[in-house]
Amino acid sequence: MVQGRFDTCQRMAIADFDREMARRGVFCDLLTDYTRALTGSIMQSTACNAVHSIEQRLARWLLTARDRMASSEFLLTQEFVAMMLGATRPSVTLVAGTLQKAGLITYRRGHLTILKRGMLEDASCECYGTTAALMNSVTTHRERDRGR
Amino acid sequence: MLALAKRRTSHADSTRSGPGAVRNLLLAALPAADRDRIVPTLDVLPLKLREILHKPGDRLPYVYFPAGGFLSVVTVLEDGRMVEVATIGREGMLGISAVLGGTPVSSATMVQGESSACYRMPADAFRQEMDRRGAFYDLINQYTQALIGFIMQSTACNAVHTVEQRLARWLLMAQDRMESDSFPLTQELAAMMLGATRPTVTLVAGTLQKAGLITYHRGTVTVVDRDRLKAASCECYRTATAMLHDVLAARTGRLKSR
Repeated sequence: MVQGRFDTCQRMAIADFDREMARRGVFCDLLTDYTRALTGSIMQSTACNAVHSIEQRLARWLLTARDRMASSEFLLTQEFVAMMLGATRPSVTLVAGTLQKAGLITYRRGHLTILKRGMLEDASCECYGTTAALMNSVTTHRERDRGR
Repeated sequence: MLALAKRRTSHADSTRSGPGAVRNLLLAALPAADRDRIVPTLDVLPLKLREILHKPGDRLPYVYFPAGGFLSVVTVLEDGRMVEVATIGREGMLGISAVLGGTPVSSATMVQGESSACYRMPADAFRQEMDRRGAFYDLINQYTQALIGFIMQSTACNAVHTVEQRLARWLLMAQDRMESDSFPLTQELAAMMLGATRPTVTLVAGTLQKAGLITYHRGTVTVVDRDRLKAASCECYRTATAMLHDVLAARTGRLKSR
C-alpha cells in the first residue's frame, strides 16, 4: 500500500521486464544488486524487530520516511505506525510523546515534523544507518562508473 | 575451519545420483539429466555443530546443500549480537547471495543441527549452471523467492509474536530438519537465535516443559507432544514450512507428469 503520497510512479509491464532481464545487461545487474540490498534490509529488520525498542524502531521508521519523502514534514496516523512496527497503539502514543517532549519531533493532527534530525538518528538503532547505506550502495557506485 | 573441513571432504558419487541417493531435496527434485550433470561437481563434507560457514561480508566460494541437520542464517548487529533470520535444512541451499551477487554485509551462517553430510558446489560451477537457464535455474529461483518469503515471515513474527510462540516454532522446525524428536540445544544459543534474553528463554522453556510439550535435560531437548507444540506456536511455523515445501511439491508434480 502507498504510505507516502507522490504525483508520479513509473510502471513497466511484466513481459517487458522479463525481456529486459533476459538481456543480462546493466538493467539485470542493477536489479540483481537492488534485490541483494532489499534482502539485506529485510534481514536487518528481522533482527531489529527482535531486539530493538519501539522508540528506536519508531525513530528509524521516521528517518527512513523522511529520506523517501525528501521532506521533514509528512502525514502519519499513529494507528498506521503501530501496524507498521507491530506495536500496540498505546505504546506508539507513549513513545511518540517521549520524542515530542524531548523536542525531536512535533506531532499534531496527523501531521508529523522532524525538528532535530541528528538527535533522532541518535535515538534510532544502528539499523537506520545500515539499511540506508545498503540502499545507497546500489546506485552510488553506478553513478561513479557513469561519470568517469 | 574451512581448511579443516576441506581435508574431510569426499566427492559425491556420480554413479549413485538417483533421487533416492541424493539426500538434499532440492537436488533430488531435479530432472535426472540435470542431476547427473551437477552431482559430479559436488563434494561432501560433514556439518559440525557451531561451525561458521561464512562471516559478514565474506564472499562465499561455495554454495551448500545440506543432506541433513540445519544451518542458521543470522544478522550480526554492531555489538556482536546475532539474531536468526532463517534456517536452512535439506529442503534448501545456503548461497542465495551467489544468485544475488554478494553477501549482505551483516549476515553470517552457522551450523545449528549437525549432519554427517552436506553437499558443496564451487561458486563458479554454480554460476555456470545458473547461466544455462534450465531446470536448476528455475528451481533455485523458486527457492530464493521462498527463502525471502520465509525471512519476511520472520520479520513480522519477531515484531508481534511472543517468545513462547517463537520458541515453539523454532523447536518444530528443528525437529523437522533433524528428523528426530531429540536434539542438542543450549538455552544460550536459543536466546541468541530468538533475540531474547536467557532468563526469558529459561522461563518459557520451563513453561513448555511443565505443560508436558517438551523435556529439556543436559542440553538435549526432546519434543514430547508435537501437536500441542504446534498449538503453542504461531502461524509462522505452518506458513514458512508450506512456502519451502511448495518449491519441492511443484517440481515433484512436474517430474511425475513426464
